Formats: sequence, C-alpha cells, structure tokens
Amino acid sequence: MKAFTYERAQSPAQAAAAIEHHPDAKFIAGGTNLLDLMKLEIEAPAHLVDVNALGLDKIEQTPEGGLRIGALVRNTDLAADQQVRRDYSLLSRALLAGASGQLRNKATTAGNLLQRTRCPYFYDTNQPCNKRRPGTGCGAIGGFSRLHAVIGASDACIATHPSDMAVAMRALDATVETVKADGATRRIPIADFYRLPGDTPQRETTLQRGELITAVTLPVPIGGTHIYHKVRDRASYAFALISVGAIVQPDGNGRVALGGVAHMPWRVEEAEREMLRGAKAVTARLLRGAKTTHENAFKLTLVERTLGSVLAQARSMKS
Amino acid sequence: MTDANGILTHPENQAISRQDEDTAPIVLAASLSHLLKHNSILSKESSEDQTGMRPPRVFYVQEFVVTDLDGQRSFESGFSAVPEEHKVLTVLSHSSPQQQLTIGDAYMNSPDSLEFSRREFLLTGSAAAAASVMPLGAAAQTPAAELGAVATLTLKVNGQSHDLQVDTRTTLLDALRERLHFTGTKKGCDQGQCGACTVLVNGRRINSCLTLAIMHEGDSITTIEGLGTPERMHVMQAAFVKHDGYQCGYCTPGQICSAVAVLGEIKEGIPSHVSENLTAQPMLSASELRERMSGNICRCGAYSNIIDAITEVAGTSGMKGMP
Amino acid sequence: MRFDTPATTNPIDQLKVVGKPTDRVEGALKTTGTATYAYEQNAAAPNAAYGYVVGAAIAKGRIESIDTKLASRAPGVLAVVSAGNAGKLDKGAFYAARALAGPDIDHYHQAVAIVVAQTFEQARAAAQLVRVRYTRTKGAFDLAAAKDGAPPSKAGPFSPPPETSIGDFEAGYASAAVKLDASFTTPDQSHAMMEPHATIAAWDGGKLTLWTAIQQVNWGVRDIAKTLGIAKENVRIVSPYIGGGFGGKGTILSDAVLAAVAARKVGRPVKVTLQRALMFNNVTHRPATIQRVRIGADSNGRIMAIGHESWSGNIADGRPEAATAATRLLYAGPHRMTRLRLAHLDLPEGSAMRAPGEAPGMMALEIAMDEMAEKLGMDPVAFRVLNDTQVDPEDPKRPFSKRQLVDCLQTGAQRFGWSDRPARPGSRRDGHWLVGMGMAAAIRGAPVMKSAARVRLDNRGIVTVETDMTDIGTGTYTIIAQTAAEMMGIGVDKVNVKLGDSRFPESAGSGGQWGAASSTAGVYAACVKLLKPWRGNSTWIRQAPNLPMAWCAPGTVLFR
Repeated sequence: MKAFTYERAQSPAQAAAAIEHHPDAKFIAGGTNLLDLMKLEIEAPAHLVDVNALGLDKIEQTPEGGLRIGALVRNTDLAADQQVRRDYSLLSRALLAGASGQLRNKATTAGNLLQRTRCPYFYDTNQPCNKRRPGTGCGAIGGFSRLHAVIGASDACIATHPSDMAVAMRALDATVETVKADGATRRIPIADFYRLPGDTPQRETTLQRGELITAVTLPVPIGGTHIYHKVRDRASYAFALISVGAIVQPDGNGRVALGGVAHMPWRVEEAEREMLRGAKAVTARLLRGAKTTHENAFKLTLVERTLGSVLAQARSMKS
Repeated sequence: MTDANGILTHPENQAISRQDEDTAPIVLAASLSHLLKHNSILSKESSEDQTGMRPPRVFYVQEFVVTDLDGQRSFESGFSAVPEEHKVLTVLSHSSPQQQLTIGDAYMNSPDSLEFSRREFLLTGSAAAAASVMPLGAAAQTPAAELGAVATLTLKVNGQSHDLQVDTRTTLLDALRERLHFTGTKKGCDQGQCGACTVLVNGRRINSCLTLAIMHEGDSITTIEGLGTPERMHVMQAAFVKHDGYQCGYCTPGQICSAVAVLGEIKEGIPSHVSENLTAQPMLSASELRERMSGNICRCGAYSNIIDAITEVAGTSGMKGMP
Repeated sequence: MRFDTPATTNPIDQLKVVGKPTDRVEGALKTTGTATYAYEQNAAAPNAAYGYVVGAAIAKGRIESIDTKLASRAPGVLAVVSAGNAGKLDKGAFYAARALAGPDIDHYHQAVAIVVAQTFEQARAAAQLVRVRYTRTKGAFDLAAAKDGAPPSKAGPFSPPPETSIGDFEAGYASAAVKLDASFTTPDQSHAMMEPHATIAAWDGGKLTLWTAIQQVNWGVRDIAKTLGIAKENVRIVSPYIGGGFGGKGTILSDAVLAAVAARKVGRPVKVTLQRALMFNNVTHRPATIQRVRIGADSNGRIMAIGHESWSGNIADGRPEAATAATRLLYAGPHRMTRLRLAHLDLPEGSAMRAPGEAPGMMALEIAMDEMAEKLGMDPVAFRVLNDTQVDPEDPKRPFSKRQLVDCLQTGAQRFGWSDRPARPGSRRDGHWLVGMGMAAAIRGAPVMKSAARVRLDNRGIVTVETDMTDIGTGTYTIIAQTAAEMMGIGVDKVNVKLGDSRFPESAGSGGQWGAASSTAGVYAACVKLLKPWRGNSTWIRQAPNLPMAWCAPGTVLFR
C-alpha cells in the first residue's frame, strides 16, 4: 500500500473539491473494497478524503413519495429499513444476499455501487489486465473464465460487476445523485451510470473526477412480488454465478435485471414485454447477442432456468 | 518526480522540479502530524484562491536543499534542528520578482507568510533513513520512522483510551495487534474474506482488516479481550468452551465477537438472506444462525458446535423462537 | 517402552478421566484471545522487524536480475534479501521445494526476495518496489497432458512401491464375466488453514530461536539446521499454539527460512507471515490425480481382478500422491495390480495433506465399487460383504488382527434403513430437493511412531508433562492431560501440559494421524517410569502425604 495523506471532509462540496484539486485523491467511505485494492496497489491514491461524517446517512421519503437513500447509509441499515422492506423488498433481498454480516455493516450505498470487479486476473497484479493496466491484455479471455461476462463484454475485458444491490437498483429504476466541487448537482439514472468495457474497461462509471455521490433515490413504489434469486457455488458469502432480480405484477408483467453476466446489472426493457410468454422468451431477448466462452456458456441456460423458477415462485406467492 | 502514470511520488533523493506555469505551492512538512497542526494551509490554499495559486503539493522530508537553476544553493537545512511549530515550510511561487527568498527567515516567521521571488528552482528532498518522527508528547510506541504519512489518534479499545502515532496505512487490525499488542484478534486473510479479524465497533461487528485505524477516532472498539478474560469469561466464551466450539482456536475470537453481534442483530430485528418473512421478527433457528455467521470461516470445522454454543446463549438470554 | 505385546489390564482401564467428556484444557485461553500464536510472540522478541515475502511473478523460468535499489531506499527498510545475499541455503529432509528461488524459478509465487522494514506497512510497500526481471521458460502444468509420458514413481520412506502385482491382473481381468473400467480425477487442493504460515526468528550469536507455526517440532529443528548449515544444538523451536496445520505445516517452509535469513542479515528479530494470496502457490498442497480403476468379477459378484492406477505430478524430487494404498487392502480378489506414475509438473510442491491421505484414491475405489455393483445388479452393501477379506489380500498368511467391516456394513444398513432406499437415482423428492442414499467403506493404516515425554511430579501434587508434541487444534493438550491424570490418579486440573518446545523430549509430532496414539503412549510410558519407585515404597509415601493416589499393577500396594 502506497503512503497517503488523509483528511476528514467537512462538507460534500469540500470533499469533492479536495478530490478535484488533488492530483491523486479518492473518497473513502466504508473502505471494504478500496482498502482491499490499496493493499495490492491496484488502487494507489496519495490522498484519502473520508466522507463518513458528512451526514449523508439518512433514508427519507421524497416529496413524490419515493425514497432518498443517503450515500453513506450502511448496507445493513438499508436492508433493514422498514420502508425498504415493505415497499422495495427486492432491494432488501439483494443486499442480504451479498457479502457477510461484517461487510454489510461497513459497506455503504455508494460504495456498493462503485465496487470493482473480483475477476482474479484483475486482482493478481502479475497477470495481464486491461482494466487494471490498460493495454496489457485480458487474462480471462482464453483463461479461466467461468465467472465472467456473457453479454456486453468486449475483446478487451469480460469482467462482471459483482454487486447484488446494483441489480435491484437497476430493476427499481434508481437515480444516483451527485455533487461537484462547485456545488453543481446531477441526477444520473442508474441505466446511465455504468459503462460497458469497450476499449476502456478501466472506466466503469459515468462519474466525473471529483464528483461525489450524495444519495440514491427510488421512485414511488410500484408494488408487485419482489424476488432476488442468486445462484452461486456456496449457500452464502460468495459472489453470484448469475442472479435474477425480478418484480412481477399480479397480471404477470414486470421487470427483470440480471447480475453476474455483465460489466453492469443487465436489464433490457424490451425483454420484459415477453414476460407473459415465459422465461425462455424473456431470456432470449435479454441475452440476445450473448458471447460466451467455453467455460461460462452454462450461464445462458442457468439464467433461463433461474428466471423460470423465479416466475413460478412469483405465481405461487401471488395465489 | 512523477512515475509512469503521472502520479507524484514522495521524494527519495530525487529532484522535484517545478514547471513554469505551475503556481501550486509546495509544502514541506516533517510529517503529516505536523502538517495537520497547520492544516489551515491545506484548507486555506484549496478554497481561497486569492493569488491565483492552486492548492499545494505536500512532501514529507526531514532534510531538504533548495537551489535555484544556477545550482546555487539558496538554502540547505533539515527539520531536525527546527522547533516544532516551524516544522512546516511552504515554498510559494509568486509572480512578483521583488520579493526575496530568505528561507532562513522562514523559521522565524509563521510558515503561512513565507514568500519569495518567482523563479524556477529545484527542491531536493532527502528521505534519510535514520530520521524519525519526533514524538508529540504522546505515548510513542516503536518509532514509526515513516517519512510518508503519519497521524496521531486516540483509539478507545475495551474501555481504555490509547494515544497512538500510526502510519495512515495501518489497518485497525494491525493497530490492535502490532501496536497495542491486543493479539486476540487474528489476521486470517487480511482481505475481509475469513472473519477472523472481527471486532465490535460501537457495538457493530466489522472486519478490522478492511478499515483504517485513523478512521476510528472517537469510536468504541471491543475486541475479544474486552468481552472477557479467563478469570471473568463472557457468557459466549464460556458457551464456546462448554460446547467445544473451536479446535485450533485461530478463528475463535472472530467467531465469538460475531456471535455476540449476531444475537444483537436478531434482537434488533434485522432480517437475513434466509428469513422467509422479511418484515417479521427473525427466527432464532439454526439456519438463521448459520447464514448470519457465514462471514466467519472455520477450517477445523467446528461449525455445529459453534451453533450449539450460540443457541445456548440465545436461549439463556431470553430470546425466543428456537425450534 | 515398547508397545509390542497386548496391553492387558493397565491404569488407563480405570477410565476415570480418559474417555470422559472434558473441556479442552486450553479453552479459556483460546476463547479469550490469550493463546499466543507464532506471529504474536511479541514479548519473546520485542523489537522484531517485519519481513514481507515477494513471490515469483512467473510460473517457470529464471531471474535475470533483481533491482532492489528503490526498495532498499524506501522508508523504514532495513534490508532486502534474495538469493544473491541470503547466503548458502540447502533444503530440509522432508519437503522438496527450495524456500528461496534464484536463479531458477521452480513454481509460481516461489519466494524471490524478502523485504525487511521497521513496520509491516513499510515492508509491504517496499516489496512492491523490488524490480525483478524474468525470463519465462516453458513449463508443464497440465497433468492430463503429461500423463502418458509419466514414469513410475520411486519408493521411499513416505512413498509406497510404484507397482504391485499379485497373480496376473491382465489375464484375470480379460476373462472376467463382468468388467468395469472407470476413470476419475481429483483436483489440486490447498490446506487453507486459518493461520497463514508465520515465524519470528531471532539470533543470539550463532543460536537461532524460531517461534513458528509447525506440526513437527523436531523435524523443524532438523530441517532448519540443514537448510542453514548450522548445528541442530543451536536451534530452538517454540510452537505452543498453531492455527491449523492440516499437513501444510509439517516442517519448516519459506516463512521460517526467510525469517531466519532476514534476522541474521539485520541483526534483529524478524517476524514474517505469508500473505493469504501466497498461501496457495508458495507452500505445499495436495496434488491432483487422474486415476483408473478396473474391476473384473464373476457373475456371482466375486471379484476376480482389481487394478488401480494413479497419475499425479510434482516438482523435481517430489513424491507421488499415493492414491492406490487402500485398494491393496480393502477387498479380496486373486489377481491384483496397482501402479503409481509421477509426472514432472512445474506447480508448487505436492506433499502431505490432512490424513487420511487415502482420500483421493479411496473415493475412486468406492465409486468404482458402487458402479460395479450396479453393473452386477447387486446391492452395493452386499457386493462389499461378499468381497470382504480377513487376511491381507497380497499375503494371505497375514491376518487382520481384528476386522469388523462386515459388521459395520450390516449394522449401518440396518440402522439407516438401507433396504428402504430409493430404487433409482433421482426418484425421490422432498420439496425442491432430490433425496438419495449412499454408502462407502474406507480403510487406513494406523501407524504409531516413537514418541518421548518427560513427566514431573512436584510437592504440590502437580504433574507437569513436557513433550515437543504439538496441538494444532487436535486436542493434544487435553488428551495428554487426561493420560497423565489417569495414570497418576489425579484430576486433569492437577496436570500442567507443556508442548511444542524443542527443549522438550522428541515426540512423534502431529502428522500422519499418528500424533494422538503416539504422544499419549509416550506420556503413558513416562508415567509408568515415574511411578516405578513408589511401588511398595511406603516409607517414601509417609514422608509425602500430599502425593496423589496412584494405581499400580494388581498385587502391589495401593497407597494414598
């Protein structure tokens, strides 16, 4: 870990300014991903701006009747929030499916969105990785790729985004609110928040330098049956091979987002029009254009069957 | 000196040259702790742009030489001979040629007010290995000898306060184990994947390997040693002994800290991945306990006995719902 | 004492302490975080510097150069040690791998250097500044690709003979009425104990002390002495608590060697622990196998021919994974064959894994037996009962002293409702679970090794036991306390067990699943010797009224 200076930010704008003006600074919130990467010098900020004391840890109703979730709300608290459990239970379920109790107690809403891939080639600094060091190649392509992306990937990178929470946020049409050093705020729909790897896998979000996430807002609750089904090698405390986050309405229509298949939570609104036709039809549209490797081709079938199970479960819960 | 990525590195017998148009002041400080005492420099320079200057770049050095481009040494000194309050030196660049540099004067003036003529100059920092951070009157442990960043903080562990000077990189885990010698908390992986480092911070369990000591100023930290001693054991510790919830013992402190917190989380009504009803009070079932304890790995495989131990404590603590 | 005659009645038969449920005697320490593991021996080596290991970034090749300039000048760094300045290093007697690479790289993450600094953070950061230039060479990593060219392994102290042959397997198999020819693979496996390897090394002149996590203390003394070229008398190893071994801490490895070398270099104690990411390729593991089992039986299900072949890979001088051991002993059959073949693979060393080491081969054999039973249309339990043997199948003149496998099979079948099992796989459901039932047998030798202990009785009535035996989670402290307590006629609370110090008598160590039987036998023997003077010496007893009650052989005087 490279040496760094450290400050506790006094206000969101001041925090953003500290990043913007320092040649190599990063925000630190829970630190559960950043410090892991710093120990390996995959991230090597020279300056840390601690944003834990900025008061961004509230969950409140928005005037429209939605929910504003402070960026610093801990994953545990978000999953346990009564409103979230009642009106956005997909979010609760997704959060509870992720990490461990200790990690959920420390990790934050914004940090969870921003966490980076767990691809082993990204993590082993002896291996080629275009995300970690642009231009060095991708070890997963042609290597061990069982965990890797089947859609939206590129010849430069087939990493997946590891977050469960982000899948739920995508299905719930969340919006990411930010502030910059000059005080300017932005609202980024979650659909526009993540980037595909393309030629620049090192750029993972559309955030600008020095832009601080202050909150994530959810629209008015849409009801329905919320199911998050995570398929993984262990019963707990493991990343998804694939996951399905679904909201199914009484008439059988709804929303589907996938985890574990792409550089971002994967949702194709057009595919949702097929929901009454069943999992096969939805998956065909959802994963149209999928490009698999010899090791991860199973994910296509796994998605379809998991979605089928989810839809069946939704039907049985409804009745 | 910038490396291949354009990132400034700390000077190590390397020259730092300033670009002509770069008006960012350079701050030399003996250590972060000295700098923090003068943190007005950082915040002032960052937010107030009176002279059109950019916020400073900070280097930590013990000795330095300032020369101008002719190679004439303008000043050569070290912080070791300088009183505490002057161990921060701001070297500004200013467009006016009239002001003269007299760094010798700097030590008599407040560092903030130093100005000197605008000219390009070279700064050579020397990270002399023998130099060490001067203790600030606090309980100094082994000398940090860190010419990177050092911070002072007070850690409240098991009800007692400890004044420390730490490398900012020190995790809470290493501060506990290596600095305070609370070796009960274990390092199993140092990457948040095993739970052996679990401690309670303000009553909440976290992995102490994935947090920095400096982030916990003001927090109340409880380690396994704070839960109980061989002479006065916590009920959970006694239950682990009774039910043989351990073998090699290395995961055990983390298991016990986690277990204590798990019962609190269930009492608080926090649901889990296996809670069938998300809004109901969670059950005290074996499957709930296993799920909640999944962040604590035991290679010896004492899991079933661990569940027995936690179940006993849950029962005797008046928690209902054990099928 | 030699244990080569039947035990008959002996003090342990009282079972007042042995055989009774007993809390581990060190439980209060482990549950309160006050048991001290290797890296935590701060009181013993108060000014230790920190070592951080740099692992090779390539899997096979050569180090062309190591540039340590930047690392050496990094803040707090005391030394950077690599092959160039480590001094001459040999190897221990048990592991084949070299602790320190150079100029050749034998496997991925083999240590290429150790950085020593004042603090852990400084050492870790400086390790990133060590610039190694490598030449990669082609290596062999794929067992399947290496299989066909793999020669037979060599026999040795820890390796069985590469070929065994009884009768004529090929002919017996060819003429069998029903045949099974099945292949199996098992993967590489890591010990993954919770405590990464860790050592604090300190020199006092030419004398070295290691506080280290180790299973077999006297092996460690032998091996570090051999590696460093110093006399065994100048080495002390202290290992009271170990956070799991599972065969991966049999004797000293890179952390111990590098800590010793680093401490010698900087003139200060040095503490080293391996980062978890290095634990999979820097130290040893259980190697993968490819196995082929052939069984030929007559139409009644009697095995006529049984053959088991296993391929595994290892570095130079490494041993084979001995997967065929159980097949030589478990079932009858006149025509028998086992073969072990060892390929050269440039993976980290394959070595001992948590006993029973039979596991990879046992699995293959038992699956093959199940599949053979299916082919024969027989109940797999009945198939095994039919082919039980009460004698060594390779040497019928050698009977098992007691073999109750048939009893076990039949009792188990009855108690688990075996006759009620689903008729076909996948035919029984419980919600969204498929429910099935299966069984398997297993066999393992139970070797007992030489093991010494010292037992002392003081005038407070406390018995102190000293042996270099280790407790790696196995419960050694407790069973030794129980043994001594039973022998001396006292409670466990009156026994003080001291383990894991090379100054104590040499034990069998924790390995091969022989630790419990061997180390308690050593304590038993020591207690017998301790009790000898008291037998019938009533004068002595009167002078020491606080002596515990002790039981002696029938016919001698019982005293209080």
